[in-house]
Amino acid sequence: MQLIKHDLNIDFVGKFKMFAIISTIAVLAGIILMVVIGPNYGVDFKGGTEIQLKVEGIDIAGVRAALSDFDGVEIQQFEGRNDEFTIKLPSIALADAKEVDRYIDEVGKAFPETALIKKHFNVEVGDRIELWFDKPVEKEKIAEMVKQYNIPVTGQLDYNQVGDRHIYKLLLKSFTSTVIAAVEQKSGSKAEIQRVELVGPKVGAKLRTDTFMAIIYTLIAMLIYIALRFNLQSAPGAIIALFHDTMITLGFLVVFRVTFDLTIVAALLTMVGYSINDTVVVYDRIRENQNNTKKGNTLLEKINTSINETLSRTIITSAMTFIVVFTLLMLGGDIIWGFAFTMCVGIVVGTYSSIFIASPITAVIDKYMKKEQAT
Amino acid sequence: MEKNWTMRAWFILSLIIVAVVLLLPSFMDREKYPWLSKINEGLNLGLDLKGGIHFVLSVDVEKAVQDRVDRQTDEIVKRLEEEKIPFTSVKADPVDPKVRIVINAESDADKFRDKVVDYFRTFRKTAQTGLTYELTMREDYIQNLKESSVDQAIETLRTRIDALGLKEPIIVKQGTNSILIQLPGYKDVERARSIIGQTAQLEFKIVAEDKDPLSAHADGMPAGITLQQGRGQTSDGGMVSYLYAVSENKEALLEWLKDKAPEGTEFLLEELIKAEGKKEYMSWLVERKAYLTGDMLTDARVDVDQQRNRPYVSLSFDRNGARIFEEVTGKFIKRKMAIVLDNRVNSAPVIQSKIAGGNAMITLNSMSDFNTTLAEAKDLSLVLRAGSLPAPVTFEENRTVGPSLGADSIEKGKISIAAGLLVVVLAMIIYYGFSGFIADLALVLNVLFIMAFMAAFGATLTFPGIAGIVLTMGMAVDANVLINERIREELRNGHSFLTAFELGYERAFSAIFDSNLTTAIAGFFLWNFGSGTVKGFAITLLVGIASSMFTAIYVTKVIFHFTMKAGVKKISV
Repeated sequence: MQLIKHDLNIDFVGKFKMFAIISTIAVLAGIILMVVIGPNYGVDFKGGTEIQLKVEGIDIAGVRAALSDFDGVEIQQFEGRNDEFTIKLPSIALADAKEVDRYIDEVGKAFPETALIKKHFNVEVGDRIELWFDKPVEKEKIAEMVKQYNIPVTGQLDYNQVGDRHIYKLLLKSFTSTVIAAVEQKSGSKAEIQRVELVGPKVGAKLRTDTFMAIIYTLIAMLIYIALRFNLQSAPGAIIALFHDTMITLGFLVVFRVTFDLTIVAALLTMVGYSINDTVVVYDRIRENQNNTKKGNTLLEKINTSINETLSRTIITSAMTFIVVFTLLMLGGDIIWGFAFTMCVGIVVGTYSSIFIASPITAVIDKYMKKEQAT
Repeated sequence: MEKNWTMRAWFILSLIIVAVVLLLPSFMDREKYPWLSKINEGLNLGLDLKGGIHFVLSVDVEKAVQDRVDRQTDEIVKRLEEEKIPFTSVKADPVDPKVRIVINAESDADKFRDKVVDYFRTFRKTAQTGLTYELTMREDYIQNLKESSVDQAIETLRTRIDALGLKEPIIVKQGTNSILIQLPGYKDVERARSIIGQTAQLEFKIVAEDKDPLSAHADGMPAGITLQQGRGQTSDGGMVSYLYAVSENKEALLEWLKDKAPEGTEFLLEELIKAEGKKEYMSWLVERKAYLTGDMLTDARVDVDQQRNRPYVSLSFDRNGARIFEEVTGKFIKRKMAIVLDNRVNSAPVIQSKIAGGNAMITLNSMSDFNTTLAEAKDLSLVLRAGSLPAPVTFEENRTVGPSLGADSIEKGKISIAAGLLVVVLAMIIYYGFSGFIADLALVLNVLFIMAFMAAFGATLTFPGIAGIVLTMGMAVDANVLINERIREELRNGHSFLTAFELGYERAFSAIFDSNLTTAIAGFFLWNFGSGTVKGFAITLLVGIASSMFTAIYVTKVIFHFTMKAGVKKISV
């Protein structure tokens, strides 16, 4: 069986202008979407709490009502599973830092004879408030005072003494337990925790930079490899194609509000790998046809022949890979959905770019360089 | 030449057998056939597939800094005494990492600067008023100390968790002072908590029986706390008696004892378990100075006291520890030595004689049955061997990931792998005919090899990992598509089938190699930077690339060869 005729001779390079305009518009759209709207960062990158609960006797409106006190709460439900909810909260600490500060100030004033030598409240963690005094103080008073503030304490107050330090630790309720209690109260049945993810804001920011760097390193490494295995003129085409693929795919992710987490990064990097795969196969053919006059007289013609010769392979392979990822998208379930979606878009865009963008750019660069030499 | 092909066939066949054997433990009941565990422990499933425990701990780095300042303060005192510089006081600041030193004579100022201030590189002089010097710990040193205490905590935790016999635990630093621990498949939350959370700071301190601060408070005792008479000996054989406090309420007792310890000593509690299972706490007044600590241990193991049939933990000290132990037991003969574990007195035996050889024991104060005590002893020796945490840790989150979610994911993964495989297999046969079928065989082998590799090396299969396998299937097919397209092309160029076949493999190779290598570059960076689940994906991707090169090129060529040898003149491509 044969789908693509072997004697095809489409003038891809000649039509480059048209595709360049289409692609430029798409890439610009991607960049604008990324900058103006931005991706829907998941807890991995944004920081916050994500809790997946299984609880009966409540619908999504009920959960929303139960959690109406929490600022910025987002509730999602998966298709076909009516008793499961994903609850996303923008922070990981339940206590408001300002409220805690006010409380600590008051405590300091409440014991004029004693110096409050240190206070400790870690927003990243938010599990406790520590008060350090130089002399022991009334424990009950500390516990009593906190009730006047909107601080979710567990009621446990630890004391220990290290040298001249008298350390009082007020333990705070965690987000998870408070959220679960609220949902359980509303539904009247026990909630089963399926999954909890907590990422502090600093960790999220660090992951973001790390990821960005990983992508940059990958691109640089690929660029070096192509420049070494092929030639310097080829590298820019490949890298422009990769940038092109990444930006357009990111644009799609923004439009479809796909949760941008570490798995999506994995998908993006794999997609980049695939796209360069296609490009490399064409480059390989150009390299082979370089000294063969039958395949065209100018480099431009040779590039065109090479794209045509490998077209069948490019389309068959892309179709096969697409089928695989598409099955994942359809059957893989919601955890893998974002991954499969990214790959689906990426494969289509990547195939397009390796045919219409990467190699023609090499031809254009070559033409330009020749002109420079002539003048 | 022919011999060469036969060898190749045997090589492939033996690889298949090895792969199947490696996969047996993953698909057969290991409980029923224990010999399977000798091969490997089966495929490791990640937390997302298997369920398990997820902890986030924060390390109290401030406490580590304080401890270091306190210890350095002792060092400064020692140094002053060695250099014979008379001083009034050396005190650590209760909050800041500072030490204040008051020396006696102006004439010692230069000597003090040269021999003490310059000697302690971790400090710098920040203030001086007359004879009072303030030394502050250097900022970069503190930063270092904080970082290293988190790293050290991770190391210790890893040793402890390894001793639990868990596979593929994830222990990573999160943020500046948090540690993330994931124990896939582990269900015993309480045991994990106690083993991970224990600071396991072991200290040997001398009981200060010569001091009796509590008798002054004998009147007006609060309810629930009683005073009792204790007796002891001094090193020169004299008898002393003192009062100690007992209560069932630990907090109340600590509260009451607060501020009652004389300079240089502190109150610690011992937990006593009474017959009815009730706990009681008694106070011990001990000298603040810890003569020996857990880091001088070389070993801790469980032994059984034959006479009383009770398990205990026996300790061995290193050379330095053994020397100190001998010295201390010699110096404090007839007195009591408190063995303190995480600020709690474990026991306080009387030193009967000078002990050489560097062995000591910890008894377990438990009323539980033999097996429970044995389990406790084992866990204690485990944490002592692994070493103490450099600072206490607090649990920020401990959660179990429900296994039902995992089962659901596995089910969906299986379905999508099967469906993807089926569609690709059919498409290849429809498009390429018999050679498509051969490529399909290679594809199935590829999946087999990836799984076998993961089982053999204990790599963790995560849900993204399953996705990785599905993706590799697409890539394995690519190599065969490249070869087959090339054979078609060479046939069109007028070559005979055999030549076209040879040329197809030869000329497609560079494209396959270069394209796979660029994908491997992406895989390598993912593996390097990724956390848990993403790493799992990268591993399957990398293994898949390597294995697909082998199956798609080498294996299919061998199959082609034998098909043609069997008399088939032309294979549909």
